[in-house]
Amino acid sequence: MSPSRGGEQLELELERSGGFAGLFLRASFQYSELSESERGAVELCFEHWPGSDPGAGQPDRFCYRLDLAERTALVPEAHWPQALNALLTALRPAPG
Amino acid sequence: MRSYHFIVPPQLLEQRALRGSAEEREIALATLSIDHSIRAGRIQNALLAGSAQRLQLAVTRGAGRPDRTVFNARHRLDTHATSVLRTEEGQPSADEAANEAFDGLGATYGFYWDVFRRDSIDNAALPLLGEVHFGERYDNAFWDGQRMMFGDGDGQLFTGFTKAIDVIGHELTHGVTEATLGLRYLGQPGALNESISDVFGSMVKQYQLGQTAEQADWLIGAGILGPVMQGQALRSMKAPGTAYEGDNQPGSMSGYVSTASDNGGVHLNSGIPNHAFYLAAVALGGHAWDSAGRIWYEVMVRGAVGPQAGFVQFAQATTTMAASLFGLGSAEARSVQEAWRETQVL
Ligand SMILES: [Zn+2]
Repeated sequence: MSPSRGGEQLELELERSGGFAGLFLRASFQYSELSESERGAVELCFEHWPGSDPGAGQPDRFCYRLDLAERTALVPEAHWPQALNALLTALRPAPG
Repeated sequence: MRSYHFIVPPQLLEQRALRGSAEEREIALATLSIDHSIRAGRIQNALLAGSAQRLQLAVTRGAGRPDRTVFNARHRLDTHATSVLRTEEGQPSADEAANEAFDGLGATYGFYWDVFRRDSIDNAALPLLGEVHFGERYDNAFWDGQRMMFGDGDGQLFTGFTKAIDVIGHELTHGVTEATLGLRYLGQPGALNESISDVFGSMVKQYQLGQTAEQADWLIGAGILGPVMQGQALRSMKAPGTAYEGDNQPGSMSGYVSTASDNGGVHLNSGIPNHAFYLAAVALGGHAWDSAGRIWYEVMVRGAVGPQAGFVQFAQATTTMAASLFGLGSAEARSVQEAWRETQVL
């Protein structure tokens, strides 16, 4: 995946929803500024959890959503890659 | 034909049910089934659940007594932690969260037992296992199908999840829902699953405080919010959407949220059935568990709706159950129906 398209910087959007609280938290990142391992983990998420149709989950577990250009991935907490944990520290509450 | 049913002491039957041959077990169970005592039901439930260890527990521990163990996850995401902080036999722990979890599990067990004669999550003496200090600054609590996990919170959004008894009641009730209706955790059935946990979590708190429906605050998660969260709780069953700054829960179908996030907005749209329960409970007055709570509980244990049930099916089931339990045209039947109408579900 190229870090930019047509010279435009791609922005990766991350959302965490669910949990007992049901809070929505969001953060965005310049895709080009992610490390190689982080970009690899993001690509694996798009490969294994593509699309924006939610599946049935487990009660009160977190749900992660990644958006990059036209691609979306919905990743259950149990499958969230450790390589992306550093991104979670940037999450801030946002309206649902 | 003479019957020996009432000559054989129950203790002997229990021993046969526990240790006898398949034929002896069957006879012992059939005999015990004539005795409609709670003890017999407990033993049968445990046997049906298929665990000899749990059957032994059911026989020896006695009805109405929980079997709690609280583990220390030691800040790891370990759902099988083995370090024990507190058991039924042990002394209170030096760990405050462990004691809070232990007490909350006990209060929840006590509510279900005292009010509904339900013996733990599965009504078959399932041991209640909890883990505290789950993860690093983990902002969550959840039931994983076997144990309840409690994070300490990050100190900013949340200050810990063992401090609010309704949180513990909420999580344990996810286990009860799994054992009864098995509601799919997605979309409307998922929102019903969430709502049922809030309903019973709130009643656990009300029961402990001895509150009537009018006296209750109907808040979920009061006391666990950190300094970043502006508000008094996470959800308000009385006034959905007002618990904290940014709370977007709807209280009626006109505000229903369609979203792919949060398993289809299960923590958002739960505000609608939450508010319906609140309206019914307050209209009926007194203790919520005596009227509306009883109706909701019977819908669960009688499997009145399927795992894919939506709001309308659940509303119809509770209305029908209210009429069945309290009579057609009763205040209970009318109040439940009116609550679902006011929330625009019916
Ligand atoms: Zn929940």
